[in-house]
Amino acid sequence: MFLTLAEQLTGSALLPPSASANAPTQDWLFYFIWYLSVFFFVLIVALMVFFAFKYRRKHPDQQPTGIATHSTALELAWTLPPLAIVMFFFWIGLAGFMDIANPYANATVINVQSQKWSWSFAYPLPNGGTFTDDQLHVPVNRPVELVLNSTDVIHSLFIPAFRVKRDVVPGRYNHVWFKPTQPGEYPLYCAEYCGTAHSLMVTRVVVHAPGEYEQWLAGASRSAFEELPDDLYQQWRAIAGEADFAAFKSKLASMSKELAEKAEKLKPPFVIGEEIAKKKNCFQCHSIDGSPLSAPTWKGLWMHPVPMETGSPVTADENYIRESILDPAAKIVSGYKPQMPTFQGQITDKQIDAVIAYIKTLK
Amino acid sequence: MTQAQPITPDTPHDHDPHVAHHFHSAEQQIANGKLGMWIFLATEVLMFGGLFCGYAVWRRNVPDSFAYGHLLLNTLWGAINTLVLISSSFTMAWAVRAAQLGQRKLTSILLVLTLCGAAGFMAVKYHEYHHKFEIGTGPGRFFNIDKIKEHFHSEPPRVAASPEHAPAPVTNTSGGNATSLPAPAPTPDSGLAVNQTPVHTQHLTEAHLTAEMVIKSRNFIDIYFLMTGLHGLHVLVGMILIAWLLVRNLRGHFSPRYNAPVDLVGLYWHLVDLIWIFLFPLLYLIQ
Amino acid sequence: MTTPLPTPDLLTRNPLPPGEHLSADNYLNHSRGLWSWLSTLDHKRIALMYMAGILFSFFLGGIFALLIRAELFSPGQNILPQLPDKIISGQMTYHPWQDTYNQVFTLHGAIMVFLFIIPSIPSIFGNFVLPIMLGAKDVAFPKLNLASFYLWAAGAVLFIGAIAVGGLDTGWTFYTPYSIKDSDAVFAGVLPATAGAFILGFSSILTGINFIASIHMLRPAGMTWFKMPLMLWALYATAVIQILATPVLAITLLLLIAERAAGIGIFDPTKGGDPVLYQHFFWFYSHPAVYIMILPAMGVVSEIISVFSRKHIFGYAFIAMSSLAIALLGFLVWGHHMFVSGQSNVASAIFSFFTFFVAIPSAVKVFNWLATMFRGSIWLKSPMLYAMSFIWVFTIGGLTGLFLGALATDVHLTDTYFIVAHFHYVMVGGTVFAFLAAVHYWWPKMFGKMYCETGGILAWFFVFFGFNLTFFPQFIMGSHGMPRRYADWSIDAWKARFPDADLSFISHNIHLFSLCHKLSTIGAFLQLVGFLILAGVLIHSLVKGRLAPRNPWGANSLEWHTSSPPPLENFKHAPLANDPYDFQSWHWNDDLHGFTQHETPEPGGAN
Repeated sequence: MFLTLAEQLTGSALLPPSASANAPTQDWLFYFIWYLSVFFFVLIVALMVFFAFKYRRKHPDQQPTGIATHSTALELAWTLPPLAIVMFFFWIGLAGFMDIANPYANATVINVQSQKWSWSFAYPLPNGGTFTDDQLHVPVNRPVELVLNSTDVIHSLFIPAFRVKRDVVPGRYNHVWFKPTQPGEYPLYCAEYCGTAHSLMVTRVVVHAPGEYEQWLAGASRSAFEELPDDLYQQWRAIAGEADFAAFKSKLASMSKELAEKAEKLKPPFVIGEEIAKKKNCFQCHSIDGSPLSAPTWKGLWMHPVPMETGSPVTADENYIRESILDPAAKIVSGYKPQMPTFQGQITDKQIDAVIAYIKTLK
Repeated sequence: MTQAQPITPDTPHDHDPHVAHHFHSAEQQIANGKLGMWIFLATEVLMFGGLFCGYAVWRRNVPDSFAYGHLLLNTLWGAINTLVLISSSFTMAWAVRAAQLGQRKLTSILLVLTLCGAAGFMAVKYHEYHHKFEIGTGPGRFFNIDKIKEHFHSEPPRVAASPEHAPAPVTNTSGGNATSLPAPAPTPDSGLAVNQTPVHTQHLTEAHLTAEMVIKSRNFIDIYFLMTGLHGLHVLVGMILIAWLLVRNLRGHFSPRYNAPVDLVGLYWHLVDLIWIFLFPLLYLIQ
Repeated sequence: MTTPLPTPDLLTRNPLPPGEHLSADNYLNHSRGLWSWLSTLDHKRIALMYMAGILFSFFLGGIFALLIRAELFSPGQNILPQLPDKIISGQMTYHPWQDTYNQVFTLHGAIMVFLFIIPSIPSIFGNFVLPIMLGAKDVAFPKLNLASFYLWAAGAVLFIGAIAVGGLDTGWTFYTPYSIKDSDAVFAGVLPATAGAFILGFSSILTGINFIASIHMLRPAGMTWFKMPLMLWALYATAVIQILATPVLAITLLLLIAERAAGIGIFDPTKGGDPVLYQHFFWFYSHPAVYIMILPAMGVVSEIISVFSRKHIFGYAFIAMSSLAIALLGFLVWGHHMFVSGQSNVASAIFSFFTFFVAIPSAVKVFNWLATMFRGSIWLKSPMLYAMSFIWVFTIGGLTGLFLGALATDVHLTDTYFIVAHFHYVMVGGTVFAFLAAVHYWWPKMFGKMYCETGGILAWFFVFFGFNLTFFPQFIMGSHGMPRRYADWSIDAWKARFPDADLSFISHNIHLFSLCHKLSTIGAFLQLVGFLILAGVLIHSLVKGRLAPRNPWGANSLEWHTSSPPPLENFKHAPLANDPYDFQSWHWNDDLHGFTQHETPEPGGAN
């Protein structure tokens, strides 16, 4: 009964289109309370305005026509039935809440790490291990469990289309369960205030049609450059400009058919590096044009001395940049706060190489 | 209803000089003052309630810290302070009675005794705090790991020679390594292996802790300083109030007709005492 | 100074003839000079000093509100500048502009909550009318009352200090662990602001102690508990909450200060603490604090609805008891702020259950007010218009609370603009409309001057419609998922993140959010117009207003039995309490433009 009613009511203007199995109960309750509220609001305000008009005082000394001071029966009449109504709300609310707060069996478990101000989702790979991405990809009609943890302050994962929200609290693991029902793309917001770029801590949820989730995972989890054989990878890594890259590609094409196919998907390291920096939200704090933000700019950083909060200046070489990404608190640049989160476990060595290649280009 | 009486047109001259203009009798003013003080004491209880709540949550979150940390406290000093404070509560109660009976001299003596008790309490507290800072176990950023490593050894303590007092050789009942204390375990019961034999529990002191254990007791040290610090602040305020009573009493301000301040400060002092009665077992005794 | 001057009418029978006005000896002109105000123990003067401070805070918080709304008029950066941060190698660096927004909304919330809404009605009108309603000369502890004012002032100074040292960007809730680390809360104002809130808490506690003691000890002959004006019941229930909840805030802020200043870690997960514990502590105070804001407002509305309907309040006992019920149940619902924080499901269920319970006493009051108006003689003066507006906005605020009390819908709506709209309807709608009603109702008593009724109604029109235009659209965008405390919602942010993606899935939302924000900003500036008119009306009243009669509204609680403004100790001689809602003996007198009691011989043109 709830579901049919919900179907009739959704599509109305107050809630965004829903896309999860738990949403219909919540939406039904929302609209039920909504219509009841409208009824009571209109009743109360209409009576108030009607009384104010009907019994308006024409002369300051005009006496009232009524003299009633109380009526226990009437008082109980507007105390007890509302109590019954709200108890009903409580019950439906609890039932709907349990859909989100209780585990689904056999759910796909995705670990979610949040930090100022980005999300990273760790997808389990079929052969073990995980692949991390900054967008949430989920299969349609299969239950999903998100395990939430934060490395710094409290964030909150909010997907309006799924009607789910859960705080991401440092020091504890929170869980949320849902089952997407509509393939498509949806916004995901951070809903707990977390500082400067709180309003930019948004990302996309992609619900894949049956079978496509596995395809996406297989494709996304391996990048072309990471699959290069070691010797070729070292050559690729040294590429410093478009001309070098074109030469490298044609070299690959001449080597074998398989490598030629790979070369088609390949991008130069500094382009990959820029993409990774964007995904990891590096540009929230680091500028590339020299403008001062809350962290040192990348422009002209490569191989230049960096003044330290303690000790002598350090040259920004590969080791320094690598350390700054994996253990940001180790060396603090003079004048800045130790506020960068670590990317340990969220970025591979080869990805760091690409980021360094990108920083090299920012002269 | 009973206390509600009509306010008569103000005729100030037949008023007791101690009765404020908006009261019509000394009784009303005294009842009023007592009500206000009791409500204030309720707010004090709720304020300390927040700390007790934090204590409970931390105890559950970091049990190791409490198991090791309470050994840093000297039960003897705590017991002495409890006695001192209870005695001062007694002298305070007596002072209230003496003030009501108009025994001015006795009131002064009793107030001085109360003040001495409070000062004694603070002296012991100072001694305890000073020691904590010396060995590096201060609160928050006064927690000095280098100092702790200086004062505590990473090796477990040597077993005392005296057989009946000997803390059992520190053994790991769950593992096989008998020469060193176990790595901190998840529950306080198994954290200190020796604690499982109650006979020896009472003999465990600071000296049985290794530097590693002391470093783990950081949360306990923090809550210890928070709770006793806030309580100590209340003792200090109490001392100021009692000194103020003493001065007024010496000047002859109090009489059987007017002694409300003594009464109200007495109430406050008993609450300060009462809070200590809860702090002592929570911090010094249970582990 | 503490004894009244002997007056010729000391022996005349109760009540005094009407027509005493400003020229007579009263609390405003009894003594002169700044010092006579700063050192006063008179509850009425303390109330006026509160009024000056609190209105200034309201002005300050209002400026921040307008900055928020102006910034959110359209997506992207609009008016807020980047604040300077520090100088690095000779070059000035700046905070991102979002930091400025974060500061502005934090300061708006913190100033409005701690410095305006919580003290507004109790400290100004509670202080002014409570002793007079009791027929007393003063509150139970006049010195504590003055101390309480200076504590308020000290807290306010610390808040201003927080702005002076760089500001505050934690949100008014000071959530941990954000607020305990410099790297997160990037502005230096956290310590002064929390210290300020701590001191304001003591001010609140002292006021509460004073009110409870006064109501217990100073009631006059004939005023039993159930013959007190409902305002007194409301203030009593408020004081109970102030006393039981505020100490917990005090210790919470003390712990927060200890964490920031001394590195202790009760709430810091990296030191074994629990940030959710902070939320429990904070809401254990701050949810009951919502009732500190709303209960006095309900008291004011109960008085005004009855007086301006010229009819006995309907269901006195239910209204009085519902105040106490709200005060007690209000302590059992704090966890409903934390349904998505990860607290246990059982806890969430229990808190949801009690949340629905606390809805009932509020509903009972609304129905009783309607029943009071039924067959009354309704006088649509400014106070009544504000009181009726209160019913309108409070009904919306209360009903939308049902969505948030229900667990399933709360999960979707919490931390969105739906919450923002809801608590503005309850807190601003609730408190500010009742506050304005109280200003208009007691103004003649406080200053002995009438104000321009037409101007008052014009101001009401802008404030009321501006308010609804500001906050109603926020429900719509909230239920569509617009999160709160967002500096920006523009497509640019998404384009920067997903340069290649098709962003059609978000563009509909962005258009809807932009539309709602625009309406909201327009509403905010309409309110500004209303408040400016109101300020003009009140200033005009002070300067040129007609002298007020003793009882301009025909009310019967004791403050209307004394002159306007009252003498230093409120009554020339002790009044006798009677039913505060029996208006039969008062009749309109055209010469006085006010009401006089039937038995009293006409004084004949005292004006």
